[in-house]
Order: sequence, then structure tokens, then C-alpha cells
Amino acid sequence: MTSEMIDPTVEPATPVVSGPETERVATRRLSKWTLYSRRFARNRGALAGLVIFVLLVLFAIFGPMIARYDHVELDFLALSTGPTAEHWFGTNNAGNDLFAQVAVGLQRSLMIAVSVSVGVTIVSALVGTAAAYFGGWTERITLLVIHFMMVIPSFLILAMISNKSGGDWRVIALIMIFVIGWYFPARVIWTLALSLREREYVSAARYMGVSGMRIVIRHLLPNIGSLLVINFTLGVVNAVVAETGLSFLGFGVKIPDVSLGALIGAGSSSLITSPWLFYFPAAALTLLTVSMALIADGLRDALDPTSAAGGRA
Amino acid sequence: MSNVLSVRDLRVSFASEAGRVDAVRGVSFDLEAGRTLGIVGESGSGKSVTSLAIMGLLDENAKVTGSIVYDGQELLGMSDKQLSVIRGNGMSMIFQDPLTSLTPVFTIGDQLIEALTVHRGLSKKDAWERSVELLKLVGITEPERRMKSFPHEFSGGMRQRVVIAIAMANDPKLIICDEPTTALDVTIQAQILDLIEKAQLETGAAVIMITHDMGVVARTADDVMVMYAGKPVEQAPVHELFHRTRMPYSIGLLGAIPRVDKAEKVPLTPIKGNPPLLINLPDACPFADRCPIAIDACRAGEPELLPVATGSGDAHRAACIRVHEIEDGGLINGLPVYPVREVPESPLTRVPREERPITLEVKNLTKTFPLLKGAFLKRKVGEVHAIKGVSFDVREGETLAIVGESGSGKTTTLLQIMDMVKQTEGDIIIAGTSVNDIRSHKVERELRRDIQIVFQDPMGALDPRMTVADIISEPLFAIGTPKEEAHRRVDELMDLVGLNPAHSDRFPQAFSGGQRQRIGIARALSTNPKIVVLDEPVSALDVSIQAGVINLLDELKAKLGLSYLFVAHDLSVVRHIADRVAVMYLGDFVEHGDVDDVFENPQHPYTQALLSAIPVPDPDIERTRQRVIFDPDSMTTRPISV
Repeated sequence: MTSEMIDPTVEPATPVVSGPETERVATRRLSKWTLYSRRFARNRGALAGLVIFVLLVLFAIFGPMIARYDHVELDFLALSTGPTAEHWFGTNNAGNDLFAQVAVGLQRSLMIAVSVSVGVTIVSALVGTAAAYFGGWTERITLLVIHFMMVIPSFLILAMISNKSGGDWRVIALIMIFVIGWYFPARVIWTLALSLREREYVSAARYMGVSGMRIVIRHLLPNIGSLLVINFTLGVVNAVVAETGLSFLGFGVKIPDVSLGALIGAGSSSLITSPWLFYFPAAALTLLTVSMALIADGLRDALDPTSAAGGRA
Repeated sequence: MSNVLSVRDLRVSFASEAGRVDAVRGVSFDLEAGRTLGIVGESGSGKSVTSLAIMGLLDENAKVTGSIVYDGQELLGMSDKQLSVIRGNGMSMIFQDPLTSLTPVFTIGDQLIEALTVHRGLSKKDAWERSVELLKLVGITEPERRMKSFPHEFSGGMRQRVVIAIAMANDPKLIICDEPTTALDVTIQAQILDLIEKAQLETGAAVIMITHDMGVVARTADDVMVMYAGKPVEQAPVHELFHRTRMPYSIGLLGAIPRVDKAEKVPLTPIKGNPPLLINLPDACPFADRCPIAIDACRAGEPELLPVATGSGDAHRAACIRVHEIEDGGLINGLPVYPVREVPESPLTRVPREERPITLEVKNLTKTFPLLKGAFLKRKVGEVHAIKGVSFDVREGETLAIVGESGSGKTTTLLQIMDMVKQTEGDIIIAGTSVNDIRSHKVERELRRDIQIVFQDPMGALDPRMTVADIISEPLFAIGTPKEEAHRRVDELMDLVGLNPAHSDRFPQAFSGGQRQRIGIARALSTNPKIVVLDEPVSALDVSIQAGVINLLDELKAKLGLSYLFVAHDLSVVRHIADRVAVMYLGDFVEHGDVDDVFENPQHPYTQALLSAIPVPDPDIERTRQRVIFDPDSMTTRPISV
């Protein structure tokens, strides 16, 4: 991404001159990371998103420890009660403590989301850049596979396999990476890497005799780094939503394991009689996706100098 | 004569992340009808911002103060709506890039007619007729037919002609040209400059010519303003400025340009350092840190632009406290302001050329691109010959320059050599090994050690995510050098190209353009190559920086006994650096020989036209010499006519 090579702080000084002229005054510049964090911190929404996300993670980790009940433990003295001092989020009709269930469910949802997003980012980045760099048959076959993946009903396949596996979250995560996740970002990365391939530093490396895979890892991948960070954040949102949808339909994580989707699915059937069963997990889900979206938005503005927030003081 | 434009104490500042950027800090001038003001300066000197401020085209976050009086009206403080009545009607602008200043989705005719009808209220028919007339005036053949063409159907030079036609459309009183020829080939540049002159005669307009090219100024300007760090540092009529230069910065600028009309190889005088950052400038001469004759008083306060008596009687102003000590010819107390450097001489120059070993030999190099037809199954219907059997050799310690305009095939030639493309009819022999004999990757990697490349764009050729040490050592690791040795070599190389080895852990963004090009050169030298391919290595740099890099290349050649294969479009640089030169036209060498022979006594009409198109940075020579242009149909030259 060219824009990062030009110091955004001095860009307005010479707004119409061409590229090589703008770097003139770039000898003393803010360090890249100071600049990024300063821009990110200026974005109130992104900062709020970060705070919410950290609180949610803390809740997912420490919630089960401070809860008075285990999430599988049944309290027969309190069936379908609303929030009380004993059960902070209330209980369901079997006597499960909802506080413990939401904490564990959030933990499970986060684990799926993060591992899926990490996997998707790695696979798509490698496939996309390698296809672009090597070109020729590698590129043609990769694109063929990507376009094939785009037309198959992948959600259906996911539902079928996950049902068969008995709701094991690891199987679900793997399928989400390899069946639905990777190909769309891979195609976006491919188009970006196409322009990187033509950069002179890539030719320079090739003329030095550097091997192909090394060029991909050392030159192409770091230069789409900011895009990968954003992709990762948005990937978390997508994965949470997909997993929730799956569990809501009954194809996802199965009892005794819980996830936010499964809780919302169970809670929605008794929305009139015991609304807390729906609202607490739904609130956790909403907070998670909204915070991630805010963070992604802030990161995009901070990393991309051409966005609305960029360049301005 | 009345002033068309009168600017007083113009100041422009922008808010930025690091603080307030003072891009223009007090510009004042008057411009009469029919006269041309040349504004020269390096990038970041505020020359473009000045012109944009006059046109009222700056961003909203720009703070503009001072006064701009155009034709009796104060422009500052006018609304955008009021300004657009003036813009395009009385004031017009010609931008650097003709590709982006025309809308691609409308025909040339539509755009011309729009310019005419918006301000004049002409009827469609009258506007059409006037447009055809204008196109004829700017030298576009078959104007009636061309009216219906889209911008992409024109070449760069033709597009710039159309832009000039639009600028002339409403009989402007002021034409602002912002680097109008920088994006064009040199022969086209000469024609466009003539055309702007013609447009000026035709309309009687005042012209502001913004450029970094001293040759263009020498040719077109009546008055010159040299800008540095947002401020004019010297202002004088053109002859006065070129012959009685007083400000050390202007002296440096003139000394830094290689001259196409001078044979002897005098080292260029680079100006050390870089222009200051325009944030929180101290109250001192902004040039003091780069000035060879700076004294303590220079840092005590910023000098005003004050009149200087040079004995010629012309109005001459300069901003330097030692201005009265400086004499004509850039001398101070009888000594040059910029100390002359020794020309490095290599022991190889004493060995006759025939006795030196050949480092690169190219025999009958040919490259064709297939012409494909068909939407789905492509079939070959013909061939485009990009290179038509080119042969040359480069010997040790020698520089061969390939010159030519864009599209002549010079870059394709380089890429063929660097890609080590196997030739069916010809051969490429690098340091004794023929590329036709390469059988494995290992052999290829070994061969790459002997040939390295330096790219044009110092920004694009260095990976922004790697430290300088990693960048320079990359070729070393590619050939399997142990880590310890590579690290030692990095320090050695940085020293060699004039960079501080302590900075090797920084990223390329922390360096200026000239320093980055030095990093690129260090990288190319890391494997001790026999031949270095230089692809326009200085064309993206400012003149004062360019001079330093050219001197470095000269020095390295003498010190290390390198051979260079140098590709450039700038003939002045070629004259300075090359021993031999090959002129390329349509994929073939039309002339090939010793650099002084070719430049003094060009045989081919194309070479003659190419040489005559280059502006010389001396107003006396530039305005009196006879120029010729090349006619590709008859393969002859003819005297110019616009």
C-alpha cells in the first residue's frame, strides 16, 4: 500500500505534486505505530469498542469462576426464575444458571470465532498472494477453485457435517475455515497482491535471485498486513454470526456444550414467559459483534491514510 | 502597463498530524500582461501551492492570508461560486498530467464547448466553430473529426495541446502552467513550450510558468522567482538571474544541472542535505544548514528579500545576508561558493577500450509481442516488434547509455537482459556466461551475482516493511552469504554510498529520496557485481539531490571498476555520465558510438532532433539557437513551426 510510504503528516503541504515529490520532508516523522495508535485513539467509537471487547473477554474468562453454579449444574429449587441475588441472570426451566451459561457460551463463541478468523486469515493470505505472485497455471487453478467454492451451497454443507459430528466445536471451526471462510478474502487479497507483484521491490528481489515463496512471505505478505488485520477483525464478527446462526437452527454446538447461538435459540422459544433467557445472551452477542465492528472501523481509518479520518489533524 | 496579477505577502498553512505546515511563507510579485513569470524550486518549496492559492483550488483545511489582486479584484475571501466565474474565464490553468486533466467520458469537443458555453453563453453552433478554430490553432490535424474523439484516443502531447486549447478558449488574461511538460518526452516538451508561447502571443495573457527545470525557465520566462522552503529567495529578470546569480541556493541549483552542450566532465555541485520540514521553522535562514558559506549571523534571523545592486540596473532581489560579497559566476572573495571536487579517475580509463574485458555482450536481441485476436480462443494474427535485433557490448569500467523517448523499447531491452530471456537468434552474454546455457536455477543464481539493477523510483524499489540492513543484505542471503559476513558488508556498503551505518536499523520511509536511491545503489553493489544496470536512476530526484547521486555513481565506477548499462531519457545526464551512447528509436539503434561524437556531430536526423529539443539552462543560448524537429514519415529533420 503506497500511501503508507508517504508520510501522511506532510502530505497536505504539496497536495498536487506527484509521488516522489511528497517524500521530500519526510526525514523527521512520527513513528508509524505512534501515528496509528494516535489516530485509533482519536476515534471515540473504536475506543469504546475496544473497552467493551476487553470487558467481554474478561467476563468470558473470569465469569465461570465467580459464578455460584456450574453451567451444567441444575438447581431444582429455582426453575425458570428471573434474575435474583442467587441467580444473577435467572435460570431456565431445567434449573441451569444463566450467568454461568452465558459466560461459558461467550467463551465458546469467542474461541470458535478467533480460531476461525486466524485460520481464514492465514489460508486466504497465503493462497491469494501465492496465486498472484506465481501467476500462470497456479493462478488459473486457484481462481478456478475459488470460483467453484463461491457457487456451492457451503452453509448447507456446514450444517450437514456439523450435525453429523455431534456438535463438536473444533469440527465446526475447521469447516468454517475451509468450506466457507477462506475463498472470499483470498480473492480480495489476490487482486491486491496483483498490484504488489508489479512493484519494483518485488522485481528487485527476483533479479537478486530470491526464491518465489520467500518473496511471497518476505515482501508480499507484510505489505498487505494492514488489510489482514482488518480482515481478521471483521472475520471474528462473521464467524460469531455464522456460528450463532448454525446453533440457533440446531446444527451447531450441542448440549452439554453451550454457545451464544444455542442459548439464543433456546431462549427465543420462551420469549413471552421468561424473556431474560433470550435477552442476556442476545445482549452479549450484540455487544461482541458491535465492539468488533467498531474496532475494525477504527483500524481501517487508522491504517488507511486515504480514509476520511486520515491525514487530518 | 497595468498589472494583471498582484500578489502581496501570500501565506498558506495546513494543519497536520505533526503540527502546522507553513507551505508558503510570504510571496509577493506583480505580473503584467504579456509577460511570463517563472517560478522555480524543488519539490516542497511551495511553488505549486502558490499557484493553487491563486486559482482558489486549495483544500478547505488550508489557511490562506495576504492579498491576491487579479484584474482589480481581491480574490481572497471570494466564495467558490464567485471564483468559478473568474476561473476558466479570465484565469486558466494547465496542469502537469494531461491524462487526468481531461474527463475520459466526454469527447474533446464536448469539453471545449463546455468551456466556451459556461462563461460566454455562446450558442452551440458558434461554440463548435470556435472549438474547431482553437484545435487548429494548437496544431491538431483534422480538427472537425478530432472534435468527436475521446481523450484516450490522443497521445500525451496531443492531450496537452487540447488542454492548452481549453485554457485559451476564453481569451484568458492569466495562464498558470504547473509543470506543463514534466510528464512529456523531450521533443514533445519543446513543441508544447512553443505552443504555450504562441497561446500567450495570441491572447496577450500573462503566464506563470511553474517548473523545476532551469532549462525551461531560461527559455520561457521574463522574470524568475526562485523559491525555497515556501519563500522566494531570489527574484530577478531572467538574464540577470542566470548571469548575476547572487543567492547561494540559486547558484547551487544552476551548478547541479548537467549541461548537454558541455563536453568536459566537471563534477556537478550537489547541495548537501535536504530542504527543511516546514513545521515550526526557527527564525533563521532556512538554507543555512545546506549553505557552504553560512556564518553564525545566518542562524540569528531569517533574511529579508532585499534589493541587490549588481551593476546592471535591473531590479534584483535576494534573501541572503552575504549577498554583497558574492560576485558574478558564483564566486565569493574570488573563490567558488561551492568548492570544486576532484574528478575521480580510474586506472582503467588509461587502458584502451579494445583491451578491456567485455562484461556484457548482447547480440541480435529481439523481442516481439504477439497480436492476439478473438474473444475466447485467442489466435495470433501478427507480431509487434518491440526490439528489432539490437547488438552492443559494454566493457569493464565503461558506461553505455541507451537513450530514447517513451515507447522506444529501451526498458524492454533492459528487462530482456535482467530476465535472462533465452534468445533464439541472438545471445546475451553476462561476464562470459551465455544465458542460452542456463540449465538450472543454481546457475542462474550464480549469474545474478554479476549483474544487478538500480530502479528509477527510489520509493517503489525498497520494501517499506523492511529495515535498511535487511534490504541491503537481501541479495547476499539470496546467494547464501553467512549472517556475520553479511552484516559486516552492510556497514561497509552504507559507508561506501555515503550513508551513516548507524542508521541501518531504520525503515526506508525515514530517508529522503536521494538517500533512498543510495540505499538502492548499496543493495545493487552488495554482491560485487561486474555490471550494474541503471534504469533512469536519477529522473525521480530533485536536481540538487540528483547531482549528488550522479557524482556517487561516477565515483563508484572509478573506485570499483564497474560497468554501467544506463537507460535514460534525460540527455544532459547521459552526456555527463556516459562514455558511449546508443540512441534508440522504434526498437532499433539509430545511432551508436562515443558520447562526444554523438552529441557533437549527430548523424541520424532523429538524434539531431532529440538533441535540439533539450532546453539549455542559459537564456542567451536558449533563445538564439535554431531547433529542428524530426519527421518520421520522410526520416528527415525540418526547422520548427508550431
